[in-house]
Amino acid sequence: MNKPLSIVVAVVLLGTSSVQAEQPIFDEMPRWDGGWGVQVLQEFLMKQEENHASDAGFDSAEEHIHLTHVQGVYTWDKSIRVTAKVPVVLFAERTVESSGLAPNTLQDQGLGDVTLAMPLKKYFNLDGRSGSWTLGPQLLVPGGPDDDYNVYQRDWAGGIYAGYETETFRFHIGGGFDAWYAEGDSPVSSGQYFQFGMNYQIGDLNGYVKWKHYGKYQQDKVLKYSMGPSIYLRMTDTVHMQIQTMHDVVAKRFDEKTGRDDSYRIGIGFVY
Amino acid sequence: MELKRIIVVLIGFGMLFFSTQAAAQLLNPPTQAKPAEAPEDERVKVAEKGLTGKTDVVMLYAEGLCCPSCAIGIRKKLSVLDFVDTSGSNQGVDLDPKFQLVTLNIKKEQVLDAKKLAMAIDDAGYTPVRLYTMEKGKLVTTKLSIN
Repeated sequence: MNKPLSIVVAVVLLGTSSVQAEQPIFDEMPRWDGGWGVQVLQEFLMKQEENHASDAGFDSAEEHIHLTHVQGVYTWDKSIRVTAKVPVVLFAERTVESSGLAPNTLQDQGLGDVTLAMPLKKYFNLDGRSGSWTLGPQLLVPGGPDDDYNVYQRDWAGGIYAGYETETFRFHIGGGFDAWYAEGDSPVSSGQYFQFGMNYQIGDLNGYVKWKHYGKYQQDKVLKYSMGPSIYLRMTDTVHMQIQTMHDVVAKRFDEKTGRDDSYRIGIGFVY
Repeated sequence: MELKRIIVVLIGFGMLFFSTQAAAQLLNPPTQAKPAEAPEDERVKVAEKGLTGKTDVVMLYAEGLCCPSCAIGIRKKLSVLDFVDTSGSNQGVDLDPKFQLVTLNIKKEQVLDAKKLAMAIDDAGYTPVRLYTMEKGKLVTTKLSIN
């Protein structure tokens, strides 16, 4: 007998990955009045889930997701900017295994949930060190209807983001957290990130190599901790690139499921 | 129960967030106690070397200029000033994040406006501190201010 599809809904997270925690362009620019930029990221997500609940709707599930993130920023004044993050699900497939039944495959495609934010920044400059404090409201706008399988949560949500970062010629360290309240089930979620790394310069090229940590909590759903490397390269004043991976180290789900996610991301940004 | 969990989580994350600030302070103690990556005397030597034998070139100390990517705005803001010669590489504006120095090519027989320089650095998100010029073979230092 087939399990009702409603039981097979994926555990979708408010903000699918650490992309939610970062600000365009690559957490670096534009710092100057009147600056603006656009970045395009390709993200590949692999998710695995095991269901240990006694009234199990399914035994295990595997997801393969390909996302394109189009993100933009405009800096009116160095202390005020507005950002928009538009994810597009190019391909998402969730295969659910249930004992005694044939595998059930669900697919999703289309616009994800859009994040709008207005980060307020306070920069500080010291001899040999620079940094900033950031505080900003955020709004999550559903990008489509709520189906049996959605990569994104499809709920309106309001949130706040706060961050601090500082760097010297050689080192870079920073962290931040955001908290969200969404409509619907499990309204509360928060994320925290911490990163440290080294800057490098090779001739006219420069960039950084960082190690990023990311923690995520979603009410009644999941508490997880991920980490991974991030490499950024400034090719010219206009063109910038980044490669990043994030892997779940700890993933505890409150509804008797376990699972681990892996994210692989490559991006290109243009700054003016 | 839910409110308690929310408060615990937020406090936990807040503590972790502020710990990053503590870690950053450990990386670089108060500026009075520890010299920067490149102390002022080294910066002066670099400025003197960079200006010797050159005409129509000045250098500026922009405090906080540690990252060439974040400092792209300095090039953008300075290159539009009418006395800046943008015909050379990097639009006539070179950035040195190790010494927090900006090298600027000036158009021949143009008068440099120090206040406009200072305001451009400030608009780019950095603090203008000093202007270095070479006059009659000697390094001259001028304080920069946006006021």
